[in-house]
Amino acid sequence: MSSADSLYVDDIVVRFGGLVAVDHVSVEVQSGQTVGLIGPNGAGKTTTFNACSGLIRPTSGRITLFGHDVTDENPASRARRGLGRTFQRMELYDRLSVRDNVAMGIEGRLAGGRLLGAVISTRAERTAVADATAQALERCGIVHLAKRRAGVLPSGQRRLVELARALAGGYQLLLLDEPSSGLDQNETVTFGEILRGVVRDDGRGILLVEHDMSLVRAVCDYTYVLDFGKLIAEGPTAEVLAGDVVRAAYLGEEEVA
Amino acid sequence: MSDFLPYIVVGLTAGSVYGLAGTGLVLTYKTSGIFNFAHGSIGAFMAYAFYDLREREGLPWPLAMAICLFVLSPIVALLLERMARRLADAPVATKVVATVGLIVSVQQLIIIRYGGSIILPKPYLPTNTYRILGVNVGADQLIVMAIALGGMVGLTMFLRSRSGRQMRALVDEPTLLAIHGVSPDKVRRRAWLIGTGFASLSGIQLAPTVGLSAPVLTLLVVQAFGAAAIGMFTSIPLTYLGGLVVGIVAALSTKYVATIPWLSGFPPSVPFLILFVVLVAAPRRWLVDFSVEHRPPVREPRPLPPAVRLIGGAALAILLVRLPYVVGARLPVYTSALAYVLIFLSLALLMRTSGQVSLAQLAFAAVGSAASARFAVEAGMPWLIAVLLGALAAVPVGAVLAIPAIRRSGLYLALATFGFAVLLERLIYFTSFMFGASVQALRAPRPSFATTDEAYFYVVLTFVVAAVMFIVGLNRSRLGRLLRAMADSPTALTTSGTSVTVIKVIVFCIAAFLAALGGALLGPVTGQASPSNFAALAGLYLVVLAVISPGSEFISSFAAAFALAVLPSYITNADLNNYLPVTFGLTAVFVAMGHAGMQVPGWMVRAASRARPQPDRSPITARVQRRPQPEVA
Repeated sequence: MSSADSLYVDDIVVRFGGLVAVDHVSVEVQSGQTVGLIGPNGAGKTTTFNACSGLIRPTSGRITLFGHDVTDENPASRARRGLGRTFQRMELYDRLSVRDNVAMGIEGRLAGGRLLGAVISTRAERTAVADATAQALERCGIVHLAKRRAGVLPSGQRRLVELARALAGGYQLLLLDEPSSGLDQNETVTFGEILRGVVRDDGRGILLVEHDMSLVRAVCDYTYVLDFGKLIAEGPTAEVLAGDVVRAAYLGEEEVA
Repeated sequence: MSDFLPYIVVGLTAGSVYGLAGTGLVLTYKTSGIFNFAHGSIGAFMAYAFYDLREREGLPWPLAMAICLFVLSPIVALLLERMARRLADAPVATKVVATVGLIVSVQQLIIIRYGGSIILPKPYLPTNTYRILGVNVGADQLIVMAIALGGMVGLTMFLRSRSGRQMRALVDEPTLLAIHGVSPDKVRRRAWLIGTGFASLSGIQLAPTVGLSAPVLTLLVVQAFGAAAIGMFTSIPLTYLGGLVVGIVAALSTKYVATIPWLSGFPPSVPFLILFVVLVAAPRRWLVDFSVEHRPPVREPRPLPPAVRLIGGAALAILLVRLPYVVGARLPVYTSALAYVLIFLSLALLMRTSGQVSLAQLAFAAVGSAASARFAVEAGMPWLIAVLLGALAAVPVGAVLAIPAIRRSGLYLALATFGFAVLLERLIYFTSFMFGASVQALRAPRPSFATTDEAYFYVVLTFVVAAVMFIVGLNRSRLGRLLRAMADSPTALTTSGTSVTVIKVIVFCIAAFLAALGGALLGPVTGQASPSNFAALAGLYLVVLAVISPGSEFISSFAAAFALAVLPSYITNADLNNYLPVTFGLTAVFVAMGHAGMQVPGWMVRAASRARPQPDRSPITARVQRRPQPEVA
């Protein structure tokens, strides 16, 4: 690994009882890069994500974030180091307005950052929150939804709210878990454009779990393929998607279906 | 060793009953996902029914027992099964409230029929003793042990049979069972029949030793909680062994604490101590939550028009300010209600805003009440300082309660907070830390500047206004957003950079302070700070009222406080007044069942949707709606 790596997952193993969900997987993501992580259902993609963001602890292996070993850190402190994420089954604050949902992206970091952060907010922080929120809403094209409650929105719009929250957090690295599921084709294209903008303009890194191959092809520079918890292929996206191994393990499944 | 043996015999006898009750509890919880807080109430109800049939109606005891076990118990079981089925998809807090509502109702019904004092039933089992290993063992004790052991062995054998296998399959995969042509409801019904039968049997067996007393029996069979905790709420043999352990430890501890007066509350608290320790300390993967939870759908808030809110608020404000001139001699009742508003606001802060279940708010109020009274009287502090310091004294206690909240959520948090409330009541209320061991209540003075009823009413009103303003501010602040965010998705919050642990500690401390403030203000209304206002079971009644009171957190808190403190004073008919808690308890049960989304009749839904057209009027949907539907042959 080089110290320029945003995220370096070094040979992790995750076991659930007798099941090896992730088996010696290594993944690296650099700033300004979009990396895909694909594979059939149950391949261990979300488990890898959960290990990266600290929701589960790997049985062995290390995880390095911007040069810090974070393997023993909790999710909140990893987030404060600049790791943001979305969830396959969206985790929104359903009773909060869309604006407040998005604001919580940055407020979560600020509140957790210092001792009384949850109770006291400074004027400078409030300005920063308002700016970041407005920008993220604008970027995801959901300004008109700002006052709605997140819980009442259809899933396509909820995906955008979740992305906006992650963007407002100002994370240098984003883990996006199947962001296009529940989106129609047009929405997916728009979504891809937002992602490309994020990488190009802000130089952030993205690790993307995705089933929609058109989105992977459109945004990912480099792609890893997981099957039954093992890495079976990696390389530049076009090459990987054309490879036989991937077709057999993954795309083949789609053809049958 | 011979010193211990008598205690062990007593412990084994009681423990057998706890084990039996515990296995019944675990069986129904595992199969239906509903943890029956009212398990003890069933036992209490059946113990009274047995006493009634036998001693009032004069039936021979085997007949009375048969009626209880084979007629009454199955009826109760079927009712519970119906309730459980309705609750299956409800949020955890709703499930908790439903069975808590049952406790409140059943206990009050018992008090109405049999009075509040302890009745000693005549023993029905033979009492001749045998000498075994140098200890006198009563035949009744042997029979109780044998029945429990038999019940346990019988259940274990049953679980190996065909029906039993279906029951175990139900726990793992209910839909799969249905696919194989076995009705899950039928299997659950069997589980409820057995579980309720065990609870009934335990209640009847306990009554001769502890006497008939509704609160004692309700809580004693709840010793089953401790046994169930040892079985990690899953294993039936371990639960039975757990019951024995609880019984023996409690019995042995009576030997040791006999010489230490302030520990006299220890032996009866053993199961709650075990419960609390298991809930706090057990690794996460050991405690499986069997309840299936579905979040209720979120709706856009529909606040009342500003004009209505303004006029309503102004009317309420004028009413409150003019109240002393309107209600006359009833004023102290209203002052108490205002103090309770603070406790209800603290409950709303935890349960509504932050998604935490707490059955221990009244315990914080007790701390505030006792501490402020002592600060004012014994330390001679100025009144205001004494009240505020008294409320602050509850904050560290709130932080302690945050520990189970950090480790658990939902059902297990509710259990832990209830265990905590009972522990505080049993172990600390009557020590010199709080109310003291004497029967006399502590003196709780009013401030020197407000000694009349009217003046003190305004003092409490000032506190309530300040608290409401505080909560309005809190809701708009960052902390308010963090609390609601935590309630909706703790996972998202923690991956956004805020430790949920910190937020939980903060909210439990604030809620403890508010509730304690309410407690501190309550005493001076009557001039006395008395532990009788703060019993753990009364705390359950508070939760019931909080849940059935509709409206925003403020309106609901005022309504609940009114129902608790004011309403009874207007009902002059004593009988009717006695039925109030029964009504509220049952209302909680039905409200909870309604939350499962089945009680609103279809015509009402349709009428409502006709009255309020869908807001979506986009051209596309309008066109689709106008398009003529193709005829279906």
